[in-house]
Amino acid sequence: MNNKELIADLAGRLELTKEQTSALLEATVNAIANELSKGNSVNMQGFGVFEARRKEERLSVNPRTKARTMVPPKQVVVFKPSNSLKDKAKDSPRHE
Amino acid sequence: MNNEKISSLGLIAELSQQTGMPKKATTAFIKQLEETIHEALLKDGIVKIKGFGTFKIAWHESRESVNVQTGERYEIAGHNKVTFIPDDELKNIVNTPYAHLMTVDMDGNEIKKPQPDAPEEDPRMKRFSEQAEEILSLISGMQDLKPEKTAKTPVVVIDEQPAAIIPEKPSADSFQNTEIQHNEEIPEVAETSDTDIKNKGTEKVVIKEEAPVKQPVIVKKEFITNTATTPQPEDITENELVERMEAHSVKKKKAWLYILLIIIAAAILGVGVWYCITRYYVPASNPSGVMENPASLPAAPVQSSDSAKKTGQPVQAEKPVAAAASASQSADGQRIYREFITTEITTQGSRLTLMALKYYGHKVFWVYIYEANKTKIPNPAIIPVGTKINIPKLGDDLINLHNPKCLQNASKLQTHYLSLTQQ
Repeated sequence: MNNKELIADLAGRLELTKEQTSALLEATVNAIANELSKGNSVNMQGFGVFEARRKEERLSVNPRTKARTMVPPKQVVVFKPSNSLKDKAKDSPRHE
Repeated sequence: MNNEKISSLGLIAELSQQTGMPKKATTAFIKQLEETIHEALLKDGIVKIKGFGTFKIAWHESRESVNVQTGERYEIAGHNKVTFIPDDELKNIVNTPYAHLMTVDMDGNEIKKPQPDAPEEDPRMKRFSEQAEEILSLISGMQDLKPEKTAKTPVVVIDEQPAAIIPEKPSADSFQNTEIQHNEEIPEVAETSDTDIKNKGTEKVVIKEEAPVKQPVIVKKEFITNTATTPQPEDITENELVERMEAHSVKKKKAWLYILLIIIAAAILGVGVWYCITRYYVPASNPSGVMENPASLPAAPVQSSDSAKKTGQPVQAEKPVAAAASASQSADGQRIYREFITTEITTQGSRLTLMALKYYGHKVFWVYIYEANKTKIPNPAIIPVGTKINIPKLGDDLINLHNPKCLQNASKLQTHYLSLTQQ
């Protein structure tokens, strides 16, 4: 399901226009991203947790030139599905 | 960094603040969003959210593991897992606090020094670009200096083809016109060959490009020459054939020529492959092999034992009756063979198809050899050792490899004769 289908589906369920749904979804995404950028984690009950994790700086060596470079720390997103979602996914038949 | 945990409630509050919508609506939205993603994920296995990321269900194969406490081995059954791959957009937003940091080279050198690789690849690239420039300058020079001889560029050579053939159209029937036109064409041929020689001196690549293009052109002209010089009045089918071919070629003009080029290339390839197959894949011991390749039926070895006969027989049964009926039309017109290239005496392992390949360049033309020697060969599949086979001299209109019609006719004859010998 892509973004369009998701919006269409949501709009149908919420009895909103697609524009409204699209705006709401965008706001949600922005809010989550905003919180994550602050290093917070966002917990969506029954769905999962979006976490911001700090990756420490590290030294990397180019195997060809043997040049050592320092890679700076960064913050990445991690999604941890909730137990209910995990279990449901586990029981679902294999895709593809 | 403040590692707070924001709950759904906090998110909803922020959302309604941002959008100005009541909390009730945003709560419903978040709830519905979660549910929808959930359902869609289980249904489709993938949910994409623009500017956010992709939720996917990924299959994890079953694997063996060990219970750390008891040391017991057990298998973890294969299962699905939910994965989330953030979009670049989200990645960048999340990484904003560290975005200003750059990778630092610890050896104190300037970052990135891929110089040692560059000179290795450079000369080749340089050669290519040099060649390209040379070709360009050559072509432009030719066009500027001698605008008449634009035929030098390969593209123009192609364009010339339809021009050479179209005037042929009205003259297809009358003998004289064809001859005149043929004369007119000679300077063109000379011209193109002229340029060819010139190019040879200057630039190899140009010749390479031109060679495949030129070949069909020459073939075409040979073909035209034949219509002018070799019509044999007693040979009605030949003339009919030629006329048909000409009408066909005139109709489709330019587009047809391009298609012809492709067909020729495919045909040459096919001939090569065919040759290889029949050469290394001798049908004598393997009847099923013969079946795969019906054309190789007459390639059955010269009669020396009954087994040869048997290999031939099952294949003949394959021939469709309908094909034979349609083929009989084209086979009605009998060719008369008066000129012969040479005479071959069959030995152990001689085949009509191999002779055809030797003298005509294609195996399918064995039918003409068979026609010329019908009296001596009762069954084309079985040729007695020591038979004198006369190899007839054939016109280009019959055994032109570059003309699909020739091949078609020959294969029609082939099916016809094979069905005859079956009865």
